[in-house]
Amino acid sequence: MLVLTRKLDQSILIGDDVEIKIVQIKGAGPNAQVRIGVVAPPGVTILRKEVYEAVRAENLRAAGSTRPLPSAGIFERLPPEGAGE
Amino acid sequence: MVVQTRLFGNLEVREEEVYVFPAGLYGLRGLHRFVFVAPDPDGPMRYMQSLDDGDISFVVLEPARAIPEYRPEIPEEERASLGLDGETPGILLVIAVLPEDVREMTVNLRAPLVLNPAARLGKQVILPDDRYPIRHRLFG
Repeated sequence: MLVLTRKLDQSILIGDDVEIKIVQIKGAGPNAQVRIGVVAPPGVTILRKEVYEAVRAENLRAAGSTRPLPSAGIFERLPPEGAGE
Repeated sequence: MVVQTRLFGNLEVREEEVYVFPAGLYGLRGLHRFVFVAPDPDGPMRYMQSLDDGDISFVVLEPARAIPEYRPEIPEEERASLGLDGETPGILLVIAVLPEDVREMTVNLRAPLVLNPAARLGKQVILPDDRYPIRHRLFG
């Protein structure tokens, strides 16, 4: 991994059209927070990595859960909320 | 064509029914061709069967009928990448997880599927808005 040191308001460029800028630095040590601004062309997806990983894991969980549905009319046949078995 | 599937056995698929997801799905990037199978044409549920891997299928839902209050804004550039505009609104689907007890079913509201039925194109879009949960319980 390439590691660069930047100060507040400094940027790095990835290619010609992606800019990542340090917008704010709060605190110090393990609880320090850095606010980062991203400028990228439309169509480039920018995500927190946790969200990406969570969606990925949920897709795999969904694929693993598929089975024939108990009945096609499941929505009509489920008891109303709180009705129990 | 006939595709061998875990869920449906040999599934007869017509070419014009096939949806292409050029980017695949998150975590399943290699799967590009899917077909939707409706167990009950009047119900909100569909199976989304991969044609690239017959073992992989999803249960998906039309939120317009199951969760009417769910009306996320799909980023314009995502819609444009599918050839959708004001005249072609497209179809929105959400992917379900079916636990042992079906009443515990959840749907992923954060990363819906957006389809262009005319172009037979689809894409999974992660919404920028944090308020949409990845596990939304469908029944209370």
